[in-house]
Amino acid sequence: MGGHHHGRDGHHGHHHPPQGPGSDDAADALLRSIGDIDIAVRVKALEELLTAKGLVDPAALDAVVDLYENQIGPKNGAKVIARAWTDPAYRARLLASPNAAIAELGFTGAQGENMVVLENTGEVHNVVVCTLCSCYPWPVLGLPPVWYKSMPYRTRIVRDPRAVLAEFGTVLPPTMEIRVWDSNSEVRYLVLPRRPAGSEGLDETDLARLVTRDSMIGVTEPLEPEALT
Amino acid sequence: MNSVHDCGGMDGFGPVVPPGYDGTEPVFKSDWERRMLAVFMATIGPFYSDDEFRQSRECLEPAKYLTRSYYEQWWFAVTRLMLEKALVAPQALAARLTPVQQEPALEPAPLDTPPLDAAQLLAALREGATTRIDDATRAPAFAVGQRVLTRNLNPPTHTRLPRYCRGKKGEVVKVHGLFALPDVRALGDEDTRQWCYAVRFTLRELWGEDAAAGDSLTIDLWDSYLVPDPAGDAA
Repeated sequence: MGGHHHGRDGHHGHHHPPQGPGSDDAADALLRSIGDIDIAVRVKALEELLTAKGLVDPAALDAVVDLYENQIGPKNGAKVIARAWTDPAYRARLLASPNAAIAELGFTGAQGENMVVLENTGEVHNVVVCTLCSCYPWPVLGLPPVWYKSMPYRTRIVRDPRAVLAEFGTVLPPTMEIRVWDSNSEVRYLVLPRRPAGSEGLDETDLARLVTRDSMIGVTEPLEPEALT
Repeated sequence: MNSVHDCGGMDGFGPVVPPGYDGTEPVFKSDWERRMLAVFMATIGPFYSDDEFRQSRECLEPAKYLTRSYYEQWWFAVTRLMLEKALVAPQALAARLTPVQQEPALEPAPLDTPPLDAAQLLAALREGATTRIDDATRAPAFAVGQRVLTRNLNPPTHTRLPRYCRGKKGEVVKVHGLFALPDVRALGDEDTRQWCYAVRFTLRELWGEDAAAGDSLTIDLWDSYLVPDPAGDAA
């Protein structure tokens, strides 16, 4: 989830002592009393109150929506993977110093500050989850899909990954070691899938079109080259 | 906190892949989701940390957590933090949502410091932030290859040690560095740093003999969560 520190001294006057969850009975009571009002109405009320108090700027909110809806997404990660498939030196840098290698392509920012790249091989298949919330590498993959944030995936992938992968159509031989990564710290994981057989003649741009979001989470393999025709 | 968010290994939630799934989906399903995401992005950092946000989301009653959509859970989490930090007055929020009682006097006065404008907020998001620090005077307690045992911790507050890997034996596979300990950062402590390690467990250690042999789970764990495995490397 989030994480950009841009302190504004004027807003740090509220230093409350550490509080346990639910320690604010008044907040609890209010949330219960208004918690069934139409969510669109509640979001509007929150935004308007924060705007009226000068805590947020509506134009800045518009810009954030555009950033995450239109500019940042799995096409970024696909460029990283396609570069790694075509440039052995880049691949080595990506595995050794992922932050710097990803930044070479211009992708930086919140939820990508501590990247680790997991290389799929003929022996090892990696798959990523966040069981406790929805941690996900935004600069390379954008915002996570609904299934990634939902209970079925979070409950099952850590216990029976082979069955979950099979549900995505990914059936791996028993000899393939599956490594599940529960992304619970500030580290964010990106899977480097195996380059598809038969893709030798493709250039970097076409290779990037084979790299799906789900293959960079690790629940599927990349598309086959036939998918481009 | 042992609430329903700590769900790894639970049964009964059904299939993962949505009907008709083709590998893509719209980023947002409705406009209020867009606004909720943006309100979150504009307030995390200046007014609360990500660990405070996670803890606030975990405070949602289990029945609501399981039945309200993702971004509605964010509304509860952000609103609770704004109320607890006295950045939003409960009367002002209630008045806006129950027009009959609306009192203009409850409208907040703007603060002296202006909010981040679009350029400042985009710059902050493109820059990112981390609690990671480098400190050459501190050495990690555990090394790659070392066998460790996770502690059996059940704090009533935020933790990143899930139930399914408490009291389990694993192996350190990577030393990530010195990071804030989420358990205390969620309570407002921004200073404590501990070593964080990727620790690998066999699925059989976590789930028993029915799990596939050879498969594993790796999770990031801090010093406070770990002790040396008494059986050591012989395990």
